[in-house]
Amino acid sequence: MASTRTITTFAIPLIILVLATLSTMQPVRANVMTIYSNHQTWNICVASQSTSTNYLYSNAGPSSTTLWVVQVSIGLNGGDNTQYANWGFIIDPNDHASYFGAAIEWETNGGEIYGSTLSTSLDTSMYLILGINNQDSRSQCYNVLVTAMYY
Amino acid sequence: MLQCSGYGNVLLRRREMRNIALIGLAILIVASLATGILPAFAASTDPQPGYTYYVVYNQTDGSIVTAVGCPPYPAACTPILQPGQSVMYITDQPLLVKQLFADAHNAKLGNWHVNLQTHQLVSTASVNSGPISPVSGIAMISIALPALASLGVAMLGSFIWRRAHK
Repeated sequence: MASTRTITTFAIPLIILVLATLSTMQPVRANVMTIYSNHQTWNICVASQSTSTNYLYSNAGPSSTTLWVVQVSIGLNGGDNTQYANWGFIIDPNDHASYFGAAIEWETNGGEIYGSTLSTSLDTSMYLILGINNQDSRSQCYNVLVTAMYY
Repeated sequence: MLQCSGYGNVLLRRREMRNIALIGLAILIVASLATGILPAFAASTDPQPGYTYYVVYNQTDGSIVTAVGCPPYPAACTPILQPGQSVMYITDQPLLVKQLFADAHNAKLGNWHVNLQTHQLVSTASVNSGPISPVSGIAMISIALPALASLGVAMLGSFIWRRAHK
């Protein structure tokens, strides 16, 4: 009998506690991630002391409010590694969600790949614009790798 | 004595056949290398299926500002032009794409320009005679070498067949 009373003593408050916790929880909407593009690669060659600006994506994804995550990486493709370049990208021309990479000195840093990720909520479709400024005295090709997803 | 001489001939012939087989094997290895592995290395500047290729050039002198290889959908393949610039799409000219990007890969994009009269993309290097270009080197590896190797294999096969039916 004593054990039954003990169980009742602990079980009833426990049930009340669980029910109370559940009732205070707010319902949330589960957002599913959609991969818009996965590791797409551009080969962009830029003349000496010139700038190349291109739409990588245009009018992409839903036009309603959407959270975007866009990752852009850049590396040398051929040529020599004595390169000095600026690069940057924006994912919304209206709201100026942008990343401007610091000038890259491949000659001092070696042949690494540099990248950055922008995340922003857009009221419109996504437009990814990439700019590369080659400050070197010789032309240079760059590999540009992009992955984009939205929620 | 005759028996000994006959046995020696058989040994000599076996050795010859073994040498031929070894040479044949070596040629086969070279042929498979030439037709399989080497073109894969040489194909780095080849046009990629589904890609769109274009160049942006200055309208004043036809000099190339940028050459772009753009991946398939959903990528947009649209440059943002500055005043005085134009775009030329060259996807339908795969040989030109190959030569252009082979040069660009070697930091020689400056060798190319758009002829403003004919509206053609041309290489100044191809007009002048000079040392063998990287593009010709690629053609040498991807076409001539497999062809020579195949010819070698065919000749060897013919030789072995003739020896076997002597």
